[in-house]
Amino acid sequence: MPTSKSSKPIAKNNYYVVSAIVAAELFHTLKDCRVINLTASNAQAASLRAGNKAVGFRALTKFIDEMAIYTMKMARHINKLAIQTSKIATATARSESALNRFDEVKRKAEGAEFADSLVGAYSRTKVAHTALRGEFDRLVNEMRCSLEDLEQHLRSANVIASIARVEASRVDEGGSGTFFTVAETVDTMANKIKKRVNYSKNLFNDVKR
Amino acid sequence: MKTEVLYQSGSTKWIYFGRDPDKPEKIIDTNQYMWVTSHNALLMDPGGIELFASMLAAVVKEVPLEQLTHLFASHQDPDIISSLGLWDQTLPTARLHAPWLWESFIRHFGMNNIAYDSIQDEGASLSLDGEEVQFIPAHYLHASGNFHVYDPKAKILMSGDVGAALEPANVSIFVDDFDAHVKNMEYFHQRWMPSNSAKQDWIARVRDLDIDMMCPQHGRIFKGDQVGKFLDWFEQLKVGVAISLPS
Repeated sequence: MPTSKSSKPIAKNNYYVVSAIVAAELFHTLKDCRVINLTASNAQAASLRAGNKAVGFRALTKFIDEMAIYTMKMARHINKLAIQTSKIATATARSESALNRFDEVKRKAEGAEFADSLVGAYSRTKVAHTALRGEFDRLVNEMRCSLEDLEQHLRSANVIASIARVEASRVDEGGSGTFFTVAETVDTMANKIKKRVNYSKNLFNDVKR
Repeated sequence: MKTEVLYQSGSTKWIYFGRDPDKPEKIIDTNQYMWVTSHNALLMDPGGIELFASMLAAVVKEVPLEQLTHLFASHQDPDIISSLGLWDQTLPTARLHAPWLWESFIRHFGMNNIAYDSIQDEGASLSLDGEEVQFIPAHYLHASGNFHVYDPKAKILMSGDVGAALEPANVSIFVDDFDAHVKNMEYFHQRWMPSNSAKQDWIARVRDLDIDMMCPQHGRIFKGDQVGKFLDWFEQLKVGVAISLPS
């Protein structure tokens, strides 16, 4: 979860750091989804026990469960992308470091008898670097789109939570507590995930490769 | 970076590289050696990441880059081979000769292109363009898998950390006064070398070699009778002293 500590500039220095942080955020999202899953199962059991009075709520548990499953699927997908991106970003940084050192070599080897023989190695590294950058841009773009999809999807979680509150109020006082708790948990966890997703999206702003 | 040809016969050369004036202050000074044959070259203990730019610039002053086909790492230390990830992008078809023991460790420096030629414990030889060098076992001196390079024709032994000295930068590359040089070598050998029996085993092996020049990875090069003097001095030196130091 983003904290005041983790949002300090250190996380915003490089794409490979950002990608690793996003992977971690999405990993934590999986845990949050499991809480929603469990809540949905508990709600289903409670609504069965409550009988006809909770019939509206019972229908909702299916949506809650589906929402958690979809969120988990997306989180896994983005987590995988983030790990891949982090690897590519690391390789890009290494190849960039090689190119920087080649510039230093060029300067130091000025006038060297075989300085021209460096050209092949430099061009090869440059081509590899360009390819890595291309692959990196593709992955980041895919990750941004997936994060936006997930963000859109999470909006429905809040709607489900609101409906769940209405349904909970229809159950008699003795049983409504459980259903209010379900609504609260869905709302809280969805907001928590949304924060992680937002934080992940924002991390990609103003960072360098 | 200082460059000096130590030996030349036809197109075969031994070249010294070191005393880099651009070296960051807090990293240990290292000596690199390159064995050049008519169409190939072997760069020994190419050094750390910080040294890469100076090293590569120095190499292309001597040979075209495509001639540098082989690298050698006496062991796995960062000052020996942490530049590997950069060489890997520079010389993708090169071969690295290094102890089998360290392969999975050395690969941590980044090695996607260069081929790893494992040297087995008993040693090996490398032939390039009809010339040959031998990889001489020097295990536990100081790494548990460790080799030196011996050229029987040039009578040169690249002795890795054996013969190393801790001295200020920019001193001569050759030992001028052996007795005066001992103080620069003593602590290094006592502290970095862990095994007295490994040391004696290496001395016995090296005494059988005909050596004109012994070239360590730090410090100065020994010439002529200084090599024998070094072996005698090293023979009586007690190493692995850290375990008897007061806590």
